[in-house]
Amino acid sequence: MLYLAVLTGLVLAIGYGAQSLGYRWQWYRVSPMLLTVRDGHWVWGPLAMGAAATVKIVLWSLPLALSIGVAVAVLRSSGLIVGRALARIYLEVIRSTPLLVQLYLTYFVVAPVLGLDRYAVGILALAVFEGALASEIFRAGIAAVPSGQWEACASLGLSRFETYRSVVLPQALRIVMPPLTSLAVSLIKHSAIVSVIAVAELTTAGRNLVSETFMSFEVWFTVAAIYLVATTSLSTLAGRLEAKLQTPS
Amino acid sequence: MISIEHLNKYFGGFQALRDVDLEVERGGRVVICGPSGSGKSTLMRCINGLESPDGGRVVVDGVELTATHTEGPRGNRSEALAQIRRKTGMVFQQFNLFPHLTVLGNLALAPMRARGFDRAAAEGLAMRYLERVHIPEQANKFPAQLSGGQQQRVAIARSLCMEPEIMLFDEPTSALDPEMVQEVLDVMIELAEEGMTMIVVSHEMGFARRVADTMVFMDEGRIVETAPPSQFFDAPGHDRTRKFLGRILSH
Repeated sequence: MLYLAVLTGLVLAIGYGAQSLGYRWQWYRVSPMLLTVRDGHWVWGPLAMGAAATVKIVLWSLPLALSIGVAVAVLRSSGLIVGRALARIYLEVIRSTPLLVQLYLTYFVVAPVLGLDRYAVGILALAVFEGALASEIFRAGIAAVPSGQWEACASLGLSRFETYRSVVLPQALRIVMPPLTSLAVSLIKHSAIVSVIAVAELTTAGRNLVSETFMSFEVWFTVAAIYLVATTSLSTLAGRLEAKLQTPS
Repeated sequence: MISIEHLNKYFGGFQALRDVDLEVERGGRVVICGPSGSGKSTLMRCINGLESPDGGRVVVDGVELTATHTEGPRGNRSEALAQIRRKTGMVFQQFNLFPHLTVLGNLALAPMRARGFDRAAAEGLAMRYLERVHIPEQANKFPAQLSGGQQQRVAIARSLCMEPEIMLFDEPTSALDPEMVQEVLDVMIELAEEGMTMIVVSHEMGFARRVADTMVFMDEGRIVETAPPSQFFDAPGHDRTRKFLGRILSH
């Protein structure tokens, strides 16, 4: 009840504020930005195309970030001194500099050298950044697996690789599902930042529409709603997966 | 089968094992007892390389794990370790079953991933050993759904699936409720009667009397006394052994 009252108050306040600014709401112009039907064909609007691009970026960078995270976490838990040091340096450098700066560096320095396009730069920068955060999550998960599990594997003659693959990582994954979900959600949100290198994703589409139509309220509300749908569907999905992975205890 | 000479082990400044010597014949059944902190578990863990020795040597069926080995090239040590672990199975006080796998999955994992069996063959093997520990009907449950005694029997079967020549038991019944101790001991007795080489850390003296051919008493990292069970229980040669036995047999 209280929640509804607050929400209603907020909507009224925004409406009142907009009115006093003399803002003219034009919600009817929003739907073509998503989808129109022309000559019996569906035509996707710029916001829908942008959303699709955002999804594509996330679908590439999330698995990449998780792979980097697992690899770095395993490296940091290994006995290799050089490997541990490299993993540590990667973590500290990435975690301690702004994503925006990393993105610019990748775009202006790394991309020309490797011949990457904007999309690849965006995906790479996001994956490397979130990978660092993921590695800390996985490291905590690996450390939370009891040492008895390692000893059982060793006494059964399982190699280190098999121990990770069959016993430690599956258990670590179950432990880190909640923080991993948060990471995936923030990856979706952070993907907005690649709009600064003009990757045609959702936020870029929103900005272009606002500069064409000056409908900043409608467009940004719609963009926010699309992000909200994306993130909540992801966390719902992750919740289902978490429940499915649960073993009886 | 197992030969331990002048074994020393330190944890930081603490000396856990002091100049330990032990010989175990093929088919031998050794029960080790002693107060907590006396180095029993550490000794067991040095045999299959869960701990590496700081001095002396451990030879298991001709494969040597020495202190110098430990500091030698990595490949050497891991090769020796792999061979020793192939020959030995270990059962832990806390079972250490894999909680995310079913009972069948727990048993089939190592044959598949370390011996190259395909799933069908590994599960066939797993069912055979589950029958040997008398719980084939629990194959599709998860460890957490079993009683402690059942879990420990699964752990024994899991080790047996690697068909080891030596079984190490590290206080296998200490974490169990009293009424479940016997079912685990029964399985171990059957194993002993089939001729398995066994080293058991245990305070179950009834079991020891029945199964052991050699009793070992450890205190403060040393082997104080080694004797056949009849002599060990009826006429212990050392004061400390006598005191210890007096304390654990009185209740």
